[in-house]
Amino acid sequence: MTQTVTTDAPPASPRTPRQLAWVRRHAALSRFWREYRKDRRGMAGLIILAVMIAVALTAPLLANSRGLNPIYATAAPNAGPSLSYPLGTDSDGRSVLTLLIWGSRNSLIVGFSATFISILIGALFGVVAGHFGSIRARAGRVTDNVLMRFADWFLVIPFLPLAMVLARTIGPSLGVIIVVIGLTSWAGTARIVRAQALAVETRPYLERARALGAGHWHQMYKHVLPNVMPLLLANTILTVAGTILAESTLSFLGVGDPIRPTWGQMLGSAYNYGVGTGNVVWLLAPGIAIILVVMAFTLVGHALEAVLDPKLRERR
Amino acid sequence: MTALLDGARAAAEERSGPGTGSGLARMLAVKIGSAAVTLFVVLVVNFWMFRVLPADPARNLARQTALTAAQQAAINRTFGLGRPILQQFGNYLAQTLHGNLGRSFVDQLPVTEKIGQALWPTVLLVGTSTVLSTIIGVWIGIRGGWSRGSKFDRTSTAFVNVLYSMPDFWLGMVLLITLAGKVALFPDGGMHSFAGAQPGFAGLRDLLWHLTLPCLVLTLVYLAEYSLVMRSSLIDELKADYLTTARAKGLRDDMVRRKHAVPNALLPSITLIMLNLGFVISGAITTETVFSWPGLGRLSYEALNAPDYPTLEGTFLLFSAAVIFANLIGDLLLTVFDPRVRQA
Amino acid sequence: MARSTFRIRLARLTAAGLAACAGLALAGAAPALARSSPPHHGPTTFVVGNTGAVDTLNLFNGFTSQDFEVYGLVYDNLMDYGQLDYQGSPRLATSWSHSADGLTWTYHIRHGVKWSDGQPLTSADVVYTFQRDTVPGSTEFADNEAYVGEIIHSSIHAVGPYTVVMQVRHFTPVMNRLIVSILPQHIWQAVTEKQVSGYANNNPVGSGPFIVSSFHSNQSITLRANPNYWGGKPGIKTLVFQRFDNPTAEKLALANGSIDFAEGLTPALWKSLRGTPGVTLINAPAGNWDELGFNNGAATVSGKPIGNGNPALTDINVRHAISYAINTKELVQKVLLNTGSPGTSYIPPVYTQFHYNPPASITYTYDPTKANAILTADGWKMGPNGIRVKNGKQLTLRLFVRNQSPEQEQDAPYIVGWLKAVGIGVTTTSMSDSVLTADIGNGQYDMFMWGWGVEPNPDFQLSTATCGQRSTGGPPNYTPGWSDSFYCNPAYDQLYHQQQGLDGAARAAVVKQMQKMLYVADNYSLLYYWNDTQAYRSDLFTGFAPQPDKPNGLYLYQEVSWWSYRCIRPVGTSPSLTDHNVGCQHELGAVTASAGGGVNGGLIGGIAAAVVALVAVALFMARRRRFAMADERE
Repeated sequence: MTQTVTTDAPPASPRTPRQLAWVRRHAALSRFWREYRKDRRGMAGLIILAVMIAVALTAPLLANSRGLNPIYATAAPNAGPSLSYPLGTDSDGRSVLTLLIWGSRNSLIVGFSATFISILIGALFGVVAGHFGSIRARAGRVTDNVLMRFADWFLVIPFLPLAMVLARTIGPSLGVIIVVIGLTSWAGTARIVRAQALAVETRPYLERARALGAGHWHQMYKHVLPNVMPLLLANTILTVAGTILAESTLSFLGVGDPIRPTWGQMLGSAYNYGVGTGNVVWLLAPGIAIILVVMAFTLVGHALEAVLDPKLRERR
Repeated sequence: MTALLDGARAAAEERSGPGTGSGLARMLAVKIGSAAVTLFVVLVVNFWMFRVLPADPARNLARQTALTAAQQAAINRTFGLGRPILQQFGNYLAQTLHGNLGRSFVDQLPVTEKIGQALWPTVLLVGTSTVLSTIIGVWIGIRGGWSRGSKFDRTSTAFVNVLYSMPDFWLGMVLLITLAGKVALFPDGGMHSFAGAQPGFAGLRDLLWHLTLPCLVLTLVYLAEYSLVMRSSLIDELKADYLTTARAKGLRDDMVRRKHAVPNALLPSITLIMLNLGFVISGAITTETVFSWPGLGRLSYEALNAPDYPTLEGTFLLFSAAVIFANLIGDLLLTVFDPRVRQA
Repeated sequence: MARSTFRIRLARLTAAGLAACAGLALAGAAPALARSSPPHHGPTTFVVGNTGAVDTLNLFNGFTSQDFEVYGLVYDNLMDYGQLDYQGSPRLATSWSHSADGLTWTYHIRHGVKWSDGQPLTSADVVYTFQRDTVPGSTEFADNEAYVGEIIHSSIHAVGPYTVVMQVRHFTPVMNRLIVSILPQHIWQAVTEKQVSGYANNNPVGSGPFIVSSFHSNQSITLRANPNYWGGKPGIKTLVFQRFDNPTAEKLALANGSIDFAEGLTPALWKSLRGTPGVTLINAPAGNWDELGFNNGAATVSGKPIGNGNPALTDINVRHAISYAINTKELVQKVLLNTGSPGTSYIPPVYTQFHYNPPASITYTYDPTKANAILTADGWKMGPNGIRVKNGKQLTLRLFVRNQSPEQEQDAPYIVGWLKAVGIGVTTTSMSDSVLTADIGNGQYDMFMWGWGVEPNPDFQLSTATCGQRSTGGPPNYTPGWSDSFYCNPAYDQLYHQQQGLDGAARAAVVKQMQKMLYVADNYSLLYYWNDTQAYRSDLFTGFAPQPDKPNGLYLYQEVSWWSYRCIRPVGTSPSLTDHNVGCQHELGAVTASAGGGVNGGLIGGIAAAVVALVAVALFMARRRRFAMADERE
């Protein structure tokens, strides 16, 4: 399929290796985007995500942050939806809509940050383990084994009890929650990255690089990592979904950060302060928001996987 | 959860690679040994975690409950604080290996007894929901994967995606309010009506009545995962060369499916089920809390609030051991069912 | 496409799976579908829902309020706190007296009491119980020390089958309030000291108004009425305590009739029950309060300063300014939803005898202008960023909030806002109880929020502000005492020792003086007294005996008393069912029996009411005399 590059066209005849690389990458990206666009579910997810992130970024424009402070709440508590409070109020009299909008920030921040930690550690472990594991020497396999046993142990820890204990005793700030979730979820990524790294290691250009005298670090950084990236990206997106759910569970159980609102914390408050005949929307809204965001990430992640891994593509 | 999905795939792929040993027995020994090592590491971490945390648990109980100085001293003595840390660890190991998990700070009951009481309700809840979610999830996955793109596939995938994204406690609360509130179709919590475990059929019906909602929540939430995994691994299988060969040879579609595709696609599902089993036990914490179900999840949650360190240690150990054990079983099952692994 | 075996098999498997699901659901819903109305368990069964549960029937191990609620029903105490006046009131002891020097006490034990296994209760059981409870170093002693601390172990003996004599080291008025559960000797003599903490006691033998019929630790407990109770047969046959982890579920259960009484609901949930048919809400003052605690200058018992508290808080003017800056009325309104009252002194107003009510001239009413004035006069100039500065130091304080208390977490933003408005910067940190206790013990804090539950005897609460309750030990981790304000005043300590030897009005005077000292010193800023929000099905049950004897008294979960349970009866039954039971002359419905009565009501009801009222008054007078005589003897 020929590409017609219409915007920021490269020089008519590419001259330097860098420009060559640029052209290649641009073409690849365009191809990628065209494939991705064909996946309707993936597009739906992307749109939802874009809206959510936009809401989170423009929160100060959409809702006054004063609305988060119970001191300034003058409305009747636990009231159902009305014209001035479209989603009703919580037990303090604050607008549920304001909480929802600002909560999106913290929920997404926790999701992204925890994922960042998780992916960073997971990718590091996976690449190193995969690289050394493919070396025929004994030392390599031992390194691989040791690293993977370590990861296995993290895979085995029950996340929720550990998170609860740590958050309760160290202190339930957002930071602690982020670190805890990140630490307990990197092992899955490590496994996948390692599997992919092992596959990459068998490719011919890596043998060539080794023959040319490339060091371990160079091989891992310049060859393995870029080839692992696409799958890592997909995995990252999927991990965010999981971390958002994890944070909501922790907040619901009362071990989240009580001061900064997140969607999970809203659900926890609704649980403690009563729904039933009160404002049911207070329970429904954050839940639906979580479902939408997690689903969006999941759809995007699966679509990415499908595009990047031709085996998984849908028949058209 | 997502990590599991891909982790399971990765694990399955890893296992279908070249074998590491020279014989089934050796492989089993290695796996069991490695599980034992992991368990030991868990013991170490369990110990350190609760000793590193701010000590003087007695003080906090005291604040809520007006314990006297003597009682606090007794608690600290029991917990072994004040002695050299290595000696404490040694005691802890020795006691744990003898099955003595200490006594609860809160009510002085032996932790093993508290865990024993809470074990059956969790096993019942988790076991029932696992069986149901496996059957239904796998069925949806098979049907959807086979008839890819069909109306069933599209609807079920959408439905399953929503379930997968749903926080389980939220679903629980919604069901509780709608089905156990004004419209009291189901009880508001607990495992038995207060009359307790009645004998015979009446007792069983009462138990089922209480079990329905929490079981429904866990089933719905977990079937999503199984269905997604089953579907994608079936789709993978369907592209395999050997199936084309089989069809070319003239085998009927359903034979292809039954004898080849589905069994091979089941492998990642088995791994996933085993991996999940361990987590579902600890993941039932939220559901047990919402429905006041007297299981291990609720026990560890209330121990957290006390803080009742011995009980927390005990439940933590049990959860980790359950996951290790489930992984081991999953590994062994794969070894048995996957001829590629066995032959290596 | 042609049907294939695979598809048929798959279809069958599917059908089986779906059938299993449907079957499960139907089986589950069947009992409910069979009913036409919300579930009820019968008119003579009374079900109480609570967020706590009984975890053990061994009364030496239990410590939650739910545990004690049940122990007081299964066992009789020697005395209780009276329904009306929080004074020691006869239960198993019908009367008592002491020698002129106050060191020898004689108790007369009720005749004709039987244990639930039929054995008679005699002075031997009382002697056995007290002897067991006064063994130094034992768990029993530790549990009951507040009551039996001064009793000389070897002096406890019986004089005949219904009299017990004991001696004390020093006179203490607590001997008038020996609220100690009496145990059957013939059961407990088989349980050695070593076995005590492991003894389950799952089928307790007690002399109380209820007997355990089934016990599910941490879930529910079912008790049946003791038909031979010396205090009168209870008006209900079965009593159940059911645990709820989910507060919303508990509220739903009360609304749909699965339970008859709800305890432990948060104010918001409680309020949402308003208007539910058949449900009556009770907003009962109790002995609870929450405070904003200050680091008044942390030091060990030897006076050595510890920790890193902001020295600004050792300045009484700063503490006063903070107290004036806080709008406790608004906290009561917004956070407690009006289920409480603004806080003042250590002993809550519900204990009318001991509560100190500060005069308007010194009360810390919400007055930010005054707060600002005090700070300015104290040398704290307003800085450019709105925080006051003195001698180059900013007035910024740390506030520690317990993450286990949703209400206190709700309070925090209000307090931060109010203090900011007068130029005090506050940084809030949320932490667990354990971490907070450790920080307090080491003096590493400025302000925190916590609460206390005060029992009718003010002794313990007052002791927490004595010099001797400060931290002990050495770095790096000091051992905390009960003092978390580190207030230390020798004059206060002196008064504390003094009131330990007094009783009656003299004691009350000293106790009030002590509270005034603390109030003026402002070692804590008491935020509010929070009520116990209870709710019950008034369309099904009546006859409660509230404590104190007012419509908004505590109906159940009373302060160290258990009167009400004996008096509860189903709506529609005659008050005479229980009004002759001990402690039930002030039961609800005794005077307004006609309200739920028959078709005629009106005149007949009025006459009936008058007659019942007269009878009630007569009985009351008769009882009153009995109590009065007991009091006089002291």
